[in-house]
Amino acid sequence: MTFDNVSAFAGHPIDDTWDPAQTSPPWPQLPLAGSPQALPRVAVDYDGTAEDWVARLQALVALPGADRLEGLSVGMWGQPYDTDASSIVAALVAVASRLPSLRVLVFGDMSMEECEVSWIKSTDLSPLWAAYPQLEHLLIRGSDGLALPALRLARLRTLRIECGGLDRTVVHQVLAADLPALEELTLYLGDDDYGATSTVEDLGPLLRGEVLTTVTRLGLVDSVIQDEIAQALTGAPVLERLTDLDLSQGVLTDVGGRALLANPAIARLRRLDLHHHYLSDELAGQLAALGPEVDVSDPQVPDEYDGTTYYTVAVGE
Amino acid sequence: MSPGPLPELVVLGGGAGPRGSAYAVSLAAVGVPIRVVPYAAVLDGQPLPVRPGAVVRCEAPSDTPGLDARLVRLGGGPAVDVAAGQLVPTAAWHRGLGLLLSAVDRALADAPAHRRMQRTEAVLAMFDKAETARRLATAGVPQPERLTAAGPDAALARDLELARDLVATGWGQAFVKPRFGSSGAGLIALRWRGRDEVIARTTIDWDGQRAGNTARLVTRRGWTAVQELIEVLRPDGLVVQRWLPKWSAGGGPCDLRVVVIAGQARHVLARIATGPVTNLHLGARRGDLQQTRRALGEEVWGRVLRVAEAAVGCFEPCLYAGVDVLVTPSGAPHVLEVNAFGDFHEGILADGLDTYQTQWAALESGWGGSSGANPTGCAGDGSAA
Repeated sequence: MTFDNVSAFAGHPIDDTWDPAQTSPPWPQLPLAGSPQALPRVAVDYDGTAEDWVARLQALVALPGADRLEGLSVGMWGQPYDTDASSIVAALVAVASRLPSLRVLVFGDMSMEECEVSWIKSTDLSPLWAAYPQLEHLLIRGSDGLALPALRLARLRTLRIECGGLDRTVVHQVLAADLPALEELTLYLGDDDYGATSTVEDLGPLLRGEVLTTVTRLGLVDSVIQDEIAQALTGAPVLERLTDLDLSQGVLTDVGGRALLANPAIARLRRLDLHHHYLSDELAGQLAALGPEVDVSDPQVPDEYDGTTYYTVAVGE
Repeated sequence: MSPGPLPELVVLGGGAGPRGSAYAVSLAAVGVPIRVVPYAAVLDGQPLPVRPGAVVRCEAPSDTPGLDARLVRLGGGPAVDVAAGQLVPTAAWHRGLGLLLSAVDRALADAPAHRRMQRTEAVLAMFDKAETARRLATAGVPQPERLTAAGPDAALARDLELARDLVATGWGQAFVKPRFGSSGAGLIALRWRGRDEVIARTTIDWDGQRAGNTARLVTRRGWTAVQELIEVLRPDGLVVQRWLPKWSAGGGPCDLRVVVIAGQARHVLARIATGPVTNLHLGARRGDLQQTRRALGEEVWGRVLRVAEAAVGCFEPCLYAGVDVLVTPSGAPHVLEVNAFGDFHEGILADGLDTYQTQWAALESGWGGSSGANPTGCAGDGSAA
């Protein structure tokens, strides 16, 4: 039920010691040295505002070496449960010419302590496509108000959306995106209590291999319909291309587990991630013995309360 | 006043409990035998004979089976089955603790010169979150803001129109805790947006009639449910404290338990939680200390230690206390609680000594010793020399 700040993404560590509030000499240094380059997290404290956040970004891009910065992480922007991210997107667009090397972007890098994941008020991120066409790796956390219309990034290799419940509109926007270089796609589908509205049918074009045909590592995770997704993979053309499949963090029971076990394409994968699951020991053992590198760690026990059984996803609210 | 070896160490309570056992093992390792006296003897009004120069330690009441329930009854509360998970009436328990410690004071009133490892007044203040907050504020020790608009906390508990007052703070999230006590019992972690939406995560198991403790956080939604939980705590007093985001790395939100001994921050335990509460018995685990220190950086680490020392300074003279310190994501430390019995951390060493051995070393080198004043505040106190 918890999640941290993002500590690394796309092979880059995220530097949370970088202090943009330090405005007098000695000027703060961008964490440019080292390979891979550490990425600064731009964030305000719990009582900061979005205006403060924008001032910090502006301080960052004014530093020597900003043109060599390969990525950054957009952290807490001040009351993110009340204040949506539109001014953050506008600020990023406004400084785009100062960040020509930016290939990696984390958007919404907040911990559970800072905001409920399903309460992070996101926004329409489409202004970023034209401002940062060089983006290769994009991680978005929080899906309340998130929109990704006309998503077109020619070099994007990784797209990851982490949230408590993804609206089907966003699923459709991702599946309709023009991402010819995409290798890795991970969607946290979530819980219908926290905004999840997509069904297995919404994922159809992806599973049938009709869209995003360059993806080799696929994650459809943190879902209350994890069993249905596992079942829908039976005979799914998408599996022919995949090396890695991530169905972790959701409500995967023996129903879905049996479907995976009976699916010959699963055994041909390189890696299968099923951690945080509701599988029986027996089935978890059989899946672990399938052949690929299988993660069946973190088995869950459903909650009983007032005679009702509750199954929960790893990241919900 | 050259401090010689201390002739006798008397421990009240905790003979066979986990804390008492750990204490005996720790002190035996440095060649100090202890004499255990059950609290029952003191409560029965028996005098407590100690040899001149003795040191007297009070162990946590929870280490003696049945004692917490007895304290509740002493304090005028109803019969409770603590072992069965029933929520302890905290105000009665705190009054009972006061009576117990007064009984200890009386039992030692005619004893020859000796030293106490705890002072009654300081222990009672630490178990009172409102009083602790007042002292920290007076000393300028950073702590999360509290909701005090309605005046003293007891009055606040009656007058609070919770939704209105909380939303008006603009905090977005807060902890509601019992005013008295120090465990994770009776905790409510609240988070809201606007007047309509609120999530409570709580250790209170409330079925509409009877309040118990849960060993894990339960989620409740809506202000009506929240108000019900508040009503469970209200009769015994509560505090409302802003929930500051904790620095979060290495698998979950983290806070630090800093044991301050003889004025110096010595032993540190990093606690990494799986949710908003870092109590080890509520699913949090010990974090890797060196890794945590590296991640926080030396400057922040130093600030954490200084803040913990300043917090214990509010209860001087005080041989030791365990201070819970949170660090916000931007590196600002804040004191959450000061724990009178917060020294039970087996296997955590500083300069080769555990918490108990470090306390002993401080006593051996004369802490709380021979001044003309009465630094430990107990009758008959004096020099160990």
